[in-house]
Formats: sequence, C-alpha cells, structure tokens
Amino acid sequence: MLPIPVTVLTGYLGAGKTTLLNRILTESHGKRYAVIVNEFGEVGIDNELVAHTDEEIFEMNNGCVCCTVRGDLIRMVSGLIRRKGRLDGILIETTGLADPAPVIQTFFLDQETKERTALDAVVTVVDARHFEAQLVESQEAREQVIFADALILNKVDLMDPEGLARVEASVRELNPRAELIRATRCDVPLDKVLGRSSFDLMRLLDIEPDLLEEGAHEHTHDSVQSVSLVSHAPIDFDKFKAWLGDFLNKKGGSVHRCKGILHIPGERQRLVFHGVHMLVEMGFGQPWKEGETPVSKVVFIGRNLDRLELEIAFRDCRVTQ
Amino acid sequence: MNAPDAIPMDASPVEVMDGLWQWELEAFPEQAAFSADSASMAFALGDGRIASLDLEDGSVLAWQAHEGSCLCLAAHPLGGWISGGDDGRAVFSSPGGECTMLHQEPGVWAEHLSASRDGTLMAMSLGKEALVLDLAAGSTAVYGPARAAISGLCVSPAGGALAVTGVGGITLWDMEDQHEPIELDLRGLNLSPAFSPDGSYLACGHQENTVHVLDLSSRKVFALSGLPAKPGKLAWSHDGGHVLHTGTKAVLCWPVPRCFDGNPQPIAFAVQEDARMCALAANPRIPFAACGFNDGTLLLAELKRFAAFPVPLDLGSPVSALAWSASGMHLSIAFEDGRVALLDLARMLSNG
Repeated sequence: MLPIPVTVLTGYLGAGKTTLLNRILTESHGKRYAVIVNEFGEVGIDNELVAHTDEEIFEMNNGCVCCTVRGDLIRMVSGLIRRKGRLDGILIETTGLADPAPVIQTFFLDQETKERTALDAVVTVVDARHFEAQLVESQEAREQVIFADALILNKVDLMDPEGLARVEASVRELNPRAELIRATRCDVPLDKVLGRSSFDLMRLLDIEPDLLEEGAHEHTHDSVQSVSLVSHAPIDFDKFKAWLGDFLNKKGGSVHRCKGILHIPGERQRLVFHGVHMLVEMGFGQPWKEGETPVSKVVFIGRNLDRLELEIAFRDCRVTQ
Repeated sequence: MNAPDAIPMDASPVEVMDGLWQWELEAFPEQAAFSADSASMAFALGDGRIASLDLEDGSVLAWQAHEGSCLCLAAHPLGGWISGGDDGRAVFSSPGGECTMLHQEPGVWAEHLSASRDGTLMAMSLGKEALVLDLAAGSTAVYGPARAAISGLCVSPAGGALAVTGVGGITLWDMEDQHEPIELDLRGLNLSPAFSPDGSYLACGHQENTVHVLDLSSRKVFALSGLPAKPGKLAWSHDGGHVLHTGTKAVLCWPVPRCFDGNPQPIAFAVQEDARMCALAANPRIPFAACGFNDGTLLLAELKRFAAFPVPLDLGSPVSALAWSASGMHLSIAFEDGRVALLDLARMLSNG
C-alpha cells in the first residue's frame, strides 16, 4: 500500500482555513480527501469525509519536553487510512491557537502512522489584515508561520500596497524559505496546497539560494532566527551525525525546524535530512548531476541560536585531508 | 426472509486445504466475530458493511450497517450482531441483516467494543464516553466522560468491571456504579486493555512500545518496555498464566503473576526475521493462540510446549483481525486486502 499524503493546515483564528477546507471538499477535482477538524472549530463542516477530534497533545515519556505528539491523530489517521479504502490524501486542520510541532512529530514518532502516511506539507493561512496585531499578542501565530512549507497570505484584497508589503516583509522575516502565495478568500490553486511533497527527502534537491544570502544578516525577530550554513568542502558524515545528534539533544527544544543537503565524499547521491525539534530523518536523495559542483547546505530555524557556534561546529564536520 | 438491504454475496469459499476455507470480501475487515450459536461468523468492513458467513454452506450475506466504516462488532447473545461505526452509531443487526439503531452520537467514532464472556454485557467507546449495553435487561447507560478520548476498553469476563484506557492512565468502573470510577495514572497513551480470565489482572499496551500488567488487588504494576513496536493488541492464555501481545518479531509469552517478582523472562519462540505481529487472539478453551503478522504470516501458537505452526494462507497482506469461536474449535481470520478465512481446528488437528 502506497503511503497516503497528509497535509497539515494551520492558521490563526479567522485566517480562512475553513474556507479553504470547504473548497477542497466541494470542488470537483476528482479526488477523495479525508479531513480531520477540531471539535471546537470556528465553523462546522458537514461532510462524510470529515472527522471531528479534540487536539489531544501529550508528552512522550522519553524525558524530552519538546517530544509532544497528538494521540487523537495516531488513532484517527490509522483509522482513516486503513478503513476508508482509496483516499488521495488526509488534511489535518489545527485550531488557530495550536503549535504545529506536536502534529508533525506524530508523523515522526508513531511507527504505524509513519509507515502508512507521508507528511506532505505544513500549509499556513495568514490573515494579511490582522497578522501584525496577532504577532504582538500571540506566540502561536508566529510559530505557525515558522513551521510552514507554504504560506497563503489571505485577504490581500483588504490591504493597500504599502500595508501588504509590510506584512509580507514580516512574514518573510520569520520564514524566508516557504513559498508565499497571495490570496483573496483562499482562492489559491489547490495544487499549491496539496501534493507538495515538502517532507520527501528525494525532493529536497536544494535549499533556496536567496536563503543562503540571508546568512549575511541576522534574523532576530523576537529571538526567532534562521541560520544557514554552507560548505564547499565535503562533510564527514560520522562527525556531522554525532554533532547534530548532540546539538539537537541539548537545543532541540529551541530548534523548530532544520533541513539540509550534504556532500559526502565518495557518494553519488546527496545525503539529505530534515527535522522538527529533536527528531531528525535522514536518507540519500537524488544523485548529484554530472558537472554539478556538490555543495553542502544546512538551515536551522529556531530561537536563540548561536550563529557563530553553529558555524564553527559545521566547519569542524568537514572532511580533514 | 432477508431484509431488503441484505444482499447475498457471490463469494463462494475456496478450500485451501482440509479444514481451511477462504473467501474474498473486497473491503478491509476491521474485526471478526462468531455468532452466539457459532453457526456463522461476521466481519466489520471498512466500507460500512457487515458480512456474515454461514459456516455450514459457506454462503455470504452482506448489508450496510454504517454510513462510513464499520469499526467494531460482537455477537448478540440471542442471535444477530451489535456493531459500531465512524458514523457514531451503535447498531443491532438481525441475523438476516435488518438494522436497528440503538444509539447515535454524531461526530464521534464508535470504535471499540468489548463484551463479557456470556455476551450479555457490552461496552462501546464513543469519544470520551462508554455506552454500556445490558442485553439481558435491555437497558443502556453512558459511563464517563473519561479523562481523555477512549483508546481501548474491556469488560471483565464476568461482567463486573469496565476498564477504559487513554492518555494519562486507566479508568476502572465497577459496573454497579457508573459515577465513581477508580483512576489509575500511567503517563502517556495507554491502549488495548485486557482483563485476565479471572478478572484479577489487567494488561494494557502503551504507545511507547511498552506493556503494563496491573495486579488489581495490590495495584502493583509490571512494566515491560523496549519492544520493537507498539503493542496494539493483547491477549491472555486461556488459563491466565501468560500475557501475549503484538508489536513483536516473535511470539512472546510473559508469565503472570511471576512477572511481578522482578526480572521476568518471557518465553519467546517462532522468531520472524522480517515481520511484526499485528493481530492476535487467544483460544478461550485450550492453550493455543493465533498470531498474525504484517507480511501475512499466520501462526498457531501452542502454549504448552511453546511451538508454532504456520497456517498455509497466501502471504503479502497484513492480518487485520482474528477471532475464536466460544468453543475454541473455529478460528476466523481476516486480511487487510479483503480476504477472510475459516479454520476448523478439530479437522486440522485430526489430519496432523
């Protein structure tokens, strides 16, 4: 059985998630998507493929406070994929106040869920008109943007050009890497939302070059920052793995997401990885193209990251001649 | 006469070998059960149907009992079936497939169902609540809400107690008192509770690859962690001497109550290199258990000499459900790809 893609849909209260969900459920795209919504969702959606749930977050017993998962998702996702027959995808809506990490971690930590599904993307709907105010009052609004693979900047019709530019800049500052799509009443093409394969290691071909330029300046928006590291020398995998494991063990709580592509000497393929807090998945991705100069690139997004410390540690992972 | 909605299915059985027959039901079988008189077996199907198979002539009758998926199923002691589905309904189906809705809770899944040994007392999970059906008295009661969504429940064999698992622990009700449960704290997500045959122990699985055995009189807890996978299903040997569970790469039997003495050694046999146990049912009468694996391997584990015998059914699809008849003579088998099978233990044993 092929793994079923799962899309996580987040966004602050009133951003337009339900509008988007209703479109996905009612538009004739010839596909079957099951939707898991919160019991206390803003607007009820009545559809056979909608399952209601409490967001039941609990800590794992492994002693790490950031290893929280969602028990309801373990039950419901395994139920849906096993019982519903052919499903083209599952959508998980989180409440406007939810931190997306436990949702993503569920797909890393529960073996059965991991085997039968493929986390596709975290899509965050941003209310262009109210985002700046939400940033001031809510930690969650910020986290939802940080975790996103795609950002739908909704209600742009209500904004003047300067206001829109300002909102885009503050969204970009939090998450320079995600695709940003402007929308009015969430009128985005659905293929921008579904089937993105953002978590597919094979698809992690490159890290956006403009992001690497960002390395020059610090992002210190409320201490959330992204740090990009580049190495033109090949990386010693054992050293890197040991360092990354150790680093995330100590600092995983403040690292929201990380991903990277590594050039390992003697390997035809890229070594790729991505992670959420303490959890990392690694594997070999696409081979380097002929004539291409392999470059290793790593990105960390999190709180209070010490750029210099990361740079030195990453440099120490280079293969010594 | 059949109800208008019940359709005889054109699914004649294939005799795999003497004492083993196989059918094709074309839907995911979530649970299996034998009727009270053991004349038929039924399957809860992922497309909302229940399929009932006559053990005598092999004929199949199927009907739409639920709008979404049928998630759980048990035999009514006077004939027919009780089922739950993700439409939030508890439904009684007559042997001919005529459905009567007993209870409805829109928006929640009626996911787990457990019955006392005689089948007269049943409990069905509905989100955070448990619907208790007293089929002898013809009454229903709602227990709970429990502290979290119910991830599994079990009625004690004698029908005196109900155990419910969830995040944070286990809730135990004396069936006489639906208001004052006993709360046992166990961090993390607990699942699939199973009372020992005499009701004095409770075994539970745990999300983090752990099994807990609770001595209900002393409240002592034995924890076994570090399993290769989540123990999603648990079973007690017929005499209560061993606990078995899924999530293993072999058949593993933990001795009870010896496990409370510290450093218990399980009996492990029939190691599978590439497969993990995902379905399990212990025979209620003799020292046997049926163990299904995620590559389709099905083993009959003999719990006296601790030896396993493979059942020759096609590999490939994980075993999704197993159930023994009350006499322990018939085993009902289901695979995720929609194949189901019946094994006649007496005939198989007499043929060696």
